[in-house]
Amino acid sequence: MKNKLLLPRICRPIGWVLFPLAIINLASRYVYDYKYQLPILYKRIILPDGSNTFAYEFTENFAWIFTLFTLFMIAFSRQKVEDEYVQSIRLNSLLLSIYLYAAAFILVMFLAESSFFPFAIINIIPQVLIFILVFNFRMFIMPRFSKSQSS
Amino acid sequence: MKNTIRIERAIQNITQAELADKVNVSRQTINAIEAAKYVPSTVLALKISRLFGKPVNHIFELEDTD
Repeated sequence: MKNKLLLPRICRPIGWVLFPLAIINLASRYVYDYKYQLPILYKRIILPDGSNTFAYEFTENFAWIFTLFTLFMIAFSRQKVEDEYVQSIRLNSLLLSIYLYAAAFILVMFLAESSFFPFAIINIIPQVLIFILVFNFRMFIMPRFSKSQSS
Repeated sequence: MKNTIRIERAIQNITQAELADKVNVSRQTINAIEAAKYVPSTVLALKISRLFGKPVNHIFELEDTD
């Protein structure tokens, strides 16, 4: 059983190698206030007082995107033997992760200040909405097209 | 759904890993099927029954709770 949406198997070891580097990159940005020393970053935005926030923003954005990519490589690459049981476990794990994520957000919303609320909503609602759209499209709309083609 | 894969393996003297290799699944999948933790697809059930040379309903059997 082949799932074309999964990344190649080689992505998993690459992801595991890059993930610690991504964490070090993130830590260096937030713990040591590091920014990339690239000349091109300093030519983009120079504030009137001579300071430059773009290098910090670029470092921060890149660090998060890099971390996200490494996590995707680990999470969504093929197993050595990619069979139906593995796919069933993957689906259940994904579902459980969404439940736990939502539960954690609900808990944090009660504990955190109200300014956190929009951020939480933006994070959790689109995932569920996109799932509903994709699932219903594949479940109900696509089979109708298939029926008309086969008859 | 119960099955007799473990018995059939013993008769043919093959390991879970060998069976898994022959039907192109992981050893964990065979283990889960044998332990009745996972119900295989029709394709996989047919592959297993063909390998053992017996009809599917000789290897896989419905239970009252199914």
